[in-house]
Amino acid sequence: MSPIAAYTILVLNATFLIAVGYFARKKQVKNSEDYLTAGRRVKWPMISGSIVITWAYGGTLLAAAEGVCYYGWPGVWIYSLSGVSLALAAPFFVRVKKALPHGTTFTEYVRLRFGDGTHKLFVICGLLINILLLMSLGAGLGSGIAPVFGLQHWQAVLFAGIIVIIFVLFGGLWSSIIADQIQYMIMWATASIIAIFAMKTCGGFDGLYNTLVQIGEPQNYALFTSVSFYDYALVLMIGYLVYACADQCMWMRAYALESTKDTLKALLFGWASWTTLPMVAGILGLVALSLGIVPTNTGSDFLANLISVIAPKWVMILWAFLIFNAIASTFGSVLVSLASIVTTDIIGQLRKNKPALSTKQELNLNSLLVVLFGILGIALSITPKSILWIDIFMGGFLIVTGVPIYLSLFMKNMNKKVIMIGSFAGFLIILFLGSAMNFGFDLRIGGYSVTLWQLYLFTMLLEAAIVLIGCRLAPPTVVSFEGLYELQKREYEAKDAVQKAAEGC
Amino acid sequence: MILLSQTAFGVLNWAIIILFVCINAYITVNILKIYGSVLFGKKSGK
Repeated sequence: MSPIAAYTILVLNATFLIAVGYFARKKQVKNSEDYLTAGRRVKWPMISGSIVITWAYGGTLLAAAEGVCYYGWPGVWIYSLSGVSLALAAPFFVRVKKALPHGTTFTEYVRLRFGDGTHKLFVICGLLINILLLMSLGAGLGSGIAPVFGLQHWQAVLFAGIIVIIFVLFGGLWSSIIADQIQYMIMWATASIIAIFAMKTCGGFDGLYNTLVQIGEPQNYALFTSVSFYDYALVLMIGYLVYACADQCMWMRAYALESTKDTLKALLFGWASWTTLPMVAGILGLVALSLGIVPTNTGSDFLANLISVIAPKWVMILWAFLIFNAIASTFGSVLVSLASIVTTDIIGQLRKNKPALSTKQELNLNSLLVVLFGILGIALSITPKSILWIDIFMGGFLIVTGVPIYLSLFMKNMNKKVIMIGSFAGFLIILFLGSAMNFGFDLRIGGYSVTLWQLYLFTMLLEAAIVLIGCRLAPPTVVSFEGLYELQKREYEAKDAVQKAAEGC
Repeated sequence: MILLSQTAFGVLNWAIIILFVCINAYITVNILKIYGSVLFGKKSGK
């Protein structure tokens, strides 16, 4: 595709997105709460669709296919394991939504329940996770679009990144959710069309099987292999087992739901739908393998290379829409997530004893943060990177934030300090050892080389042990779910009164 | 390593595709009902 045609398509798409953002700002966004939680007026099917698109970023489509490139057929189902956390966490979301009807962020729940120390750590972790996500998404924008449009990686990242910033700047979460619905329908229709073309090219599943057997790589038609199990499934499963709990994008969507009783339905349908998406991307990855397609920069452009070989031009355009919109939507959601963490959990806490910001000031602050984090995201992903590597790296930080939260669901008596110590221990291990190992450091204990999944599992068990043993020994100091409701109600009413008084003056 | 036969390979892959289409079709119908109720003023789609 010529660069002029590529830019024309992207500009048309951008115009649509920006128009959605403008419409959202004009009709729906009156204050910071509208900006960050879409006014808490969204219905369950829209949240389910939005969840699919939010999680269907580079990881789902590109890294799932990349996994097949390295691990064969087991890669088709292994990536889906990373979504199990949403099904596991769904009842927890319902409980928190009931307890915190004015909630905006996950870290806000941590502050009210576990106290300031743990809250600070979780804010740092939340920022780290979301910045790694921005990097993964930015890399996805480049790897997913550049090969199809014939652009350089940096051109695709820069152009698409600027469009996303403008689009989110207008309408915050409303922009994301409204655009998500259209993107969701385009996404699954396009994936189905591409699957049809892929099947036609390789002669159906029988033809695909025969070609893979002829290639002579048994992992390409194996249910699972020991390499895929230890190096991929276990690392991803352990790292992402508590992902949903720590994902601010998911919390914002849960808070945005109109009805609390539909929360479970929205999350479970979102999960079920999302789970099948990396599987379909994985099947497409198999087709790419059978055709002898190889990655160009990193394995992440594997799928895009397949589309440019098997599909006619109009499907390529659909693919470009799909990948751009899927990633752009999540990129936008992460920008809003980062803005909400900084506004609510950092600035909100720093200004606790100072005069409240006016509605307009809060809204402008959120907009400014969206722009700043957007620029950071573009800068971090301007060169090609492996999305799968970033996703696995990020998994470590998710363990830190997720384990104490999960345990808190099953324990009646918890101690704030113990939770903080457990979380800190996990954080330090992942920050130093996890990061070093992800960058190629060989950790040897008694001549035995420790693998990444073993480190993640050890971190998880250590955190659990500290929390379980510590909370048995120390007296309970954690606020109950019933107490949370009252605590937030008081804080919210006080803030509301100060804001109204300031605006009245 | 557990190798898949040609039949198992086909059945598993078809199952994934069918599941993908069915779940997404269900959610899409419900989203369209909401848009329908907004555009045509009916109180449905919840």
